[in-house]
Amino acid sequence: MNGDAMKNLLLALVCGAVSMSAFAGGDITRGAELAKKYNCASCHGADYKTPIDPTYPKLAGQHADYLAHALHAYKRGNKSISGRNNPIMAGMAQPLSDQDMADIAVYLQSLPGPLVVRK
Amino acid sequence: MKKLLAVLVLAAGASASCIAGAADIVGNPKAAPNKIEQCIGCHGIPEYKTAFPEVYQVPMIGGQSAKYIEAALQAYKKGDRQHPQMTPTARVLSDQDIADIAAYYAQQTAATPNK
Repeated sequence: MNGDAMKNLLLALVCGAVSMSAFAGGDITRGAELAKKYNCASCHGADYKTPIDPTYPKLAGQHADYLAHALHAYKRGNKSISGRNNPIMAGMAQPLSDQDMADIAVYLQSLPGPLVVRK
Repeated sequence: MKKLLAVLVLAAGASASCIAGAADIVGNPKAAPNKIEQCIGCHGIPEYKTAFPEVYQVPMIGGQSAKYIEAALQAYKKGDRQHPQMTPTARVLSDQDIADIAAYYAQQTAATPNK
């Protein structure tokens, strides 16, 4: 293996490790406890795929990294380059730490849901 | 008093026309295929990830509720949601486009062929 190939391999390994820790860092059990504590189901539905209002999203089975991003976006608000202004979700997201968001996100992703990727 | 009445009448008329405007728009999934070119470049590719400013898989929108997809697109269009890709994408969509696209993705299920 020449120097460049070695460097690339190392870089790939480091990147892989970083992205794994970012997403695999979520704890499903703790996420379930947090979802219960913050009563997410009161709006998004007990099974997280039948929200109480059709303008609220189905969350069950959604990609965890997207769900964590959405929570961060609600916490930041829409003054940011990537943020959301939503009176309900802003309040819900404020007390959550990065770890809380990751945990809630992997819990929701673990649930069976109707979401699909189609063209 | 007359002025106040006039304001009230105007306000009532304005809100009534808003409601009528929203009610007139019905999403038609059959009208969507030539409106979703911008969507499928990201949302139609399994595990496709955004690159900036955060890296994450774009959300699955097939099977999502139509009213939520509409609300999300309207929020990007009006600025309640800010996003480097979604803001410019949603800004060029009419309310009818948004309703059609939302109806199209909402009807998808695991049985929908991936053409």
